[in-house]
Amino acid sequence: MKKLLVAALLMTGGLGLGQGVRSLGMAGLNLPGPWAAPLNPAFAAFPAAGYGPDAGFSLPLGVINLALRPSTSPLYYFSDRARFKNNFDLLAFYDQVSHPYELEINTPSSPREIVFDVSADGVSIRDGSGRPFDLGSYKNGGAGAYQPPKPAFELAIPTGLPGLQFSVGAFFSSGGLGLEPGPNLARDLSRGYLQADSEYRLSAFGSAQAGLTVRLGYAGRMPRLPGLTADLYLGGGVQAFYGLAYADAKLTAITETDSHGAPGPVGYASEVFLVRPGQGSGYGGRLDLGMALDFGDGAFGLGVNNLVGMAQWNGSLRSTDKDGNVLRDGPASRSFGGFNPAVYLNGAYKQPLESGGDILLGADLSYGYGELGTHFGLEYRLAILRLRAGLGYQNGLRVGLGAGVSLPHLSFDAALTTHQAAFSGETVFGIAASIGFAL
Amino acid sequence: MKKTLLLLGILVAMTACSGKTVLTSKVDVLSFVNSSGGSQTSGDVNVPGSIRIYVPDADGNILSPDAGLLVDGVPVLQDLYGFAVELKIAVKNTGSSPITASADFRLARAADDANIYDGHDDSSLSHASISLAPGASGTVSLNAVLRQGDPQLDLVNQDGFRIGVELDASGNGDIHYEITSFIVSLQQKPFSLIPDD
Repeated sequence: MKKLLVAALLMTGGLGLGQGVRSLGMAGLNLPGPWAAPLNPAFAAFPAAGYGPDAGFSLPLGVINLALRPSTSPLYYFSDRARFKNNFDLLAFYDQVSHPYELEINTPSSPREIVFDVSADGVSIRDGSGRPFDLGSYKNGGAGAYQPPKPAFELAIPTGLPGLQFSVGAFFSSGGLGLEPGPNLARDLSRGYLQADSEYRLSAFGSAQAGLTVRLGYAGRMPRLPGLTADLYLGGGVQAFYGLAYADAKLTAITETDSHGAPGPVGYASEVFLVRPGQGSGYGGRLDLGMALDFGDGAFGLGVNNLVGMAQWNGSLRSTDKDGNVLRDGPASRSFGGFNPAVYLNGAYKQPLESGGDILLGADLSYGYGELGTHFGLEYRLAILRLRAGLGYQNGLRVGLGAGVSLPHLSFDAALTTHQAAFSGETVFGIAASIGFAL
Repeated sequence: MKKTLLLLGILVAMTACSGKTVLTSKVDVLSFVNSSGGSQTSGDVNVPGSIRIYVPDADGNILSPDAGLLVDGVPVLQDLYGFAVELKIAVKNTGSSPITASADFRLARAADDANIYDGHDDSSLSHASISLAPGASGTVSLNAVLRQGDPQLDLVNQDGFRIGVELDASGNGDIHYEITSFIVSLQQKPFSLIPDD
């Protein structure tokens, strides 16, 4: 049961982490405005009208594939077993689950063929195209580094004080899945053959966390400074969290080859750290700071999340060696903290057009938790019409195209977006849509 | 080798869990025969009217039918999706009279450890022949493909399978033979292991 819980946590880690459809239409770019407040707290006070409005609620279009598409729907296991056996693809399923707000047009696919070349010299593995397996590439983006909780949604509670924000939220996120060969295995698989008298290790790992957040922040427009032709916005906040569940697991297959290079018995060493409701908890906090400048026809922002922060998870750790002996089974904790900031820089320029409407040009750059991202995009606004395009890099090349209509009380947006699939690196095209209501 | 499958199980689970994915094991049979120290992959044979030889040799006498070569521990052995063999034998008539040579590839159950050429628990998958004038050379190619549903696939199971070649030569003279290529491929679809209902 515990294993099932861990597996479920790790597999569904992408749920709830949708990106706005407007942003997807610009390849992931976030223009200056309140919607970028999670990346830069100063934007909480920034006027939405300048570079907005943002799109409404994203529709979980991925559910269509998860319910109907044979390559991604596990439902056929129950309704049409033959179809499931012929079409289901775990990689496609994982990618669609990880992007629930995109209806993936071309789901990534597992290799069509894996070839074991067996000879008296040993065994080598390659894909159907003759290439050796690069196990190092079988790591999901972001796997490994601990990231402080990001709320999947937040509920703002009015404080009655100008600029002061108070909100509660919930988070549910995954540190990704990965596969990591030991140095001997990585070396010899690329060479083609296992060596004699060597130990080989292959580890699978993943992590996930869930809990509740409370955030207290302030953002406001500062008095105009002498000589400065822009409005300056400053913001900051402290986010604390209470962790309900956390899991990180590592399963390592270990074998040794004999003097002829033949692998001996395989043992599985495991290490599972688990926090679940009633059995452990987590807590932590982080400090975010940001500033933004509004020049009227241009804007710029610099945000630093997790300038300082800490997280502590108290749970239990169970580890076994390759022979199945329990090495440890008892209380344990995980601690993260220190200076581990995520920096976000964005800017935009607004160009009115003589023919009517205007064009918003924007760019952003982010770095945090070992990941670099950058996006460039534009939005053409004419009356109720919105057209968008963008290009970016974030875990691979991203391209976006978008369109929308913005009526006084209703908006509808759609985007054609791309991302690179975890593990296989294939470019996946997806359609996202959102609908917004305003009183 | 069976253990290799276990080691690679995680890899397969992470990358190959698709209904369309095929796992293929290509077994270089020739390398195993050569590494066993035997010399049955090539030889010179006098043909006194007719002669039959059986390779790879399992009983120390290539003239007597035997258990052939046991292939086991291959990563893909259960619920096969496909089976194929590619075998090439180079034959040269080193004598002064015409010679006709033929070859028959046999597949047998692993438990058939006495005689894989007697039709019990074994089957002929491919047969080819060649006629050679004195001094001439040629190649006998044996190719066979089995697909899921072929009854002969039942001869392959978790314990492995046996293979062997019966070489017939008729005429009066001498031949030199050499097995130059001997590849057996086994294919499996991981999803076929999922129960049908």
